[in-house]
Amino acid sequence: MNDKLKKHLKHVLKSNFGYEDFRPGQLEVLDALLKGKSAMAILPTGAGKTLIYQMFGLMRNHTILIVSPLISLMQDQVNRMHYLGYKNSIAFNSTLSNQEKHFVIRNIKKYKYIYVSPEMLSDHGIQEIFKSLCIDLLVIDEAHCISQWGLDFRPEYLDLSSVIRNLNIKQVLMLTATASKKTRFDIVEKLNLSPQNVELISCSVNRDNIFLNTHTFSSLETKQNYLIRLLSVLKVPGIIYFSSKKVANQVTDLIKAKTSLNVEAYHSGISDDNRYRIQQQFMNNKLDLVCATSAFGMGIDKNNIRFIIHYHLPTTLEEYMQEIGRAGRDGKQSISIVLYQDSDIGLANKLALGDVPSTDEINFFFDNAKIFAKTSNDDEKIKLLKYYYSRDYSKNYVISIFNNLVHQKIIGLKSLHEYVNLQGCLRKYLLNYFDEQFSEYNDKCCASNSTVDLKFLGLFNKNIVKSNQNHTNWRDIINSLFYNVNI
Amino acid sequence: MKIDDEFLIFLFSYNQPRRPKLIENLLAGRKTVSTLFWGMRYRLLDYCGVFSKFKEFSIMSKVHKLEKSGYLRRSKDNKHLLLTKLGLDRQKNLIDNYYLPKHLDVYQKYNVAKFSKRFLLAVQIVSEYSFHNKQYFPLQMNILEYNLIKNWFKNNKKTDFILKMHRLLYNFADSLDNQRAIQFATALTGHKRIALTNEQQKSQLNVTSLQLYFMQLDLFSELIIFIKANQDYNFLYPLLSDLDIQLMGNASFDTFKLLIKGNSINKIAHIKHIKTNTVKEHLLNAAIVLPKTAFPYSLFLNNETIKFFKHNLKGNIDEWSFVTIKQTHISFFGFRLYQIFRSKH
Ligand SMILES: [Zn+2]
Repeated sequence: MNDKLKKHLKHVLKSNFGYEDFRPGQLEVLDALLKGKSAMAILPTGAGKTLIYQMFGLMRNHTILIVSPLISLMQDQVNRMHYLGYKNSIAFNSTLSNQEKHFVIRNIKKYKYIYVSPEMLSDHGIQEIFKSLCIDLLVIDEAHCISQWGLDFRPEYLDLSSVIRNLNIKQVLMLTATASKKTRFDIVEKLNLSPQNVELISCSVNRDNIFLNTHTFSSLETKQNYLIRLLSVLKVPGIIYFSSKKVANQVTDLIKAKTSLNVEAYHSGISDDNRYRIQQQFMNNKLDLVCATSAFGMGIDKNNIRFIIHYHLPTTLEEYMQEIGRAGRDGKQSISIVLYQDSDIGLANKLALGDVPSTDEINFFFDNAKIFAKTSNDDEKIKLLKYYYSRDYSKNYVISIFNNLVHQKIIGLKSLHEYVNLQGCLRKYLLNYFDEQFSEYNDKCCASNSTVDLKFLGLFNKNIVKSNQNHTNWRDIINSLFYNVNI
Repeated sequence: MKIDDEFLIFLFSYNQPRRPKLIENLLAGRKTVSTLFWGMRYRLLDYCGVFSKFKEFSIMSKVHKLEKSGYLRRSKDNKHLLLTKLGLDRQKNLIDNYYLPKHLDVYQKYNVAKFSKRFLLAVQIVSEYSFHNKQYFPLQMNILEYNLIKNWFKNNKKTDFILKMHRLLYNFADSLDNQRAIQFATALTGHKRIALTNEQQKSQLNVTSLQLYFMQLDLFSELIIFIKANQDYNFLYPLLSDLDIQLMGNASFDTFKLLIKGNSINKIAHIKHIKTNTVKEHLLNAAIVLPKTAFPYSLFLNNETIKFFKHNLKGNIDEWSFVTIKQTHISFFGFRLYQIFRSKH
């Protein structure tokens, strides 16, 4: 990139976003896009991936189409765009009512940044509508889903290559926080892009301001007791991740009873209105702690999260990296703590493999496909099999796909299991998993299966006093809502 | 939403046998003639559809539990349930200790939940505007609803609506008792202020989810009445548009309007391309929900018919049976209409 262009981009950055300089990787990706190439950007969570296509959009006249895998995350992203002043952004997905969909379709040309779910984009009617647009860039967010989930929960991701062809898309930006070499290759292949037209920009997944800690327990009781003791001395704010809504609720109640922390549970069982309030309270430091399932925190941009605790295991190390990546975006010392009990691996197994159809199930489905064709309201497995059937895949091919998937998942779970039981350097193990080397062990690196000197890390905070967010005087509250108005 | 046992106790009677499935259909807002008719007979019609927004809502397993615990008993025909003495005592004890909805009649007229979403967004927008802040996360809602508020804002921002909004919030809260005023104020989101979550409100008020649900609906029902009652708040009238609900159902309301214009049942069936039986069902729905004077009973029940019914149908209206008069020229429509007519005495 020549200096003149660099200077210009810095000017655009400063005047539109207020930043003095780019974060690692951003400029390189922009450079590739401005050259007319596609790009795969593997940048850690919190590296400012959104800014890349926002800025590219400022320099192009037409639509930026963003495929995003999680609907809850999509709305968060659009909210953030609106917050930043990009009102011409819209989330186009199945949560819209028919009336809303018609409204959006009628006004489709008014939107610059269109977020769309893969299911929606698979729909031929929708593709026809998008054909009327000139699409400057297709952004595939969480691009690893093509490989990790594409076979699993999101068969529509596999349609993206035909979308690229049908909509005559010239440039694709694939974004992900973590992708092994194998996954990278898989993404480009599944999208049917020519490898020489894709520029790869990757930064280390390592986040050296996040201390890594694992802790194993022999019983639920000791795990819970440890958690409560830990929370009474750990600097907030933080997030605790669960893989069960029910347990998230139970532990929230336990924390409310045993500590003075302001805590709320956040998961798909909570209504939209309440999710909004929890997110905003957390963003505004009115909540110390959120007990969440994995959906929480992806769309929010909170810099000062000090800890991420895993009460349950994630299903892969990729997911783990994404989740701990929400800590310490301000660069300050933070910590990831995995609280592990042997029985947790069973839950992780169930979650990882539960939705994969077995060979018997696949056989049964294909032998009775005509009957299944008439059913609706199917579970995820049937939906998945119907998808393959409708695309004319043979039974044996589908069996081989799923056998391979199970194999991959078991390898993934094995790595996870090794990680939580590891006696050596956790960071080294993690980075090796993502095809990176690591040898710079220091005393702010990790502690496997042992307690941590929180004082040394500057994460000790004994006297947590419950911040009283509730005015009890309604007059004060109402007066505080308006500038300079009092009765 | 968890339906409390305490609430269910209030839906049953010590004297009148009631069908639990019918009550469930009523709460879920399934507006068939039989649901509305029995809803009226049970004096529960105002509860119609209060839980229509809840997914997979059912009361049956809870009802069975209440029966097992001795609060409810089966009637002789095994299909109906009654409160036991124990159940009746519990009901009496709960009257002062359990929050029951106060403004069911308003829920039946207006979509209160829709209004409250609009109103809360309006407050947030005005609040942020008064601080000249454009960078904030607006409350989430349907795009069309959002546009309605945005247009309202555009039409008002040149006026003194900040003051007016403040005055409305203040005066309304002032009209409430202190605890409810706090509940109202803490439900507001605005500049540097985020509403309490339902969980936080529940622990603040020490109530269940269902009680909180009714408390919130009641607060905003009162707010609707408050705004409507005072011309000073007419800047908020656009927020009240399109909130009307027809308890009898929209299709029944259309049919009823055609009847009032002087069309016969056959004519209405022809105009609307529906069966005459459907027209009759619509008219029964209308008769059930309307006050006695608002429905033209005389069109269908002449003095002679009424005399006939008086002679043949006696005692408890709930127990009247069409079978006893089936041999005559009287239709089921006439029979049911007379039942409704007499229920309105
Ligand atoms: Zn280490």
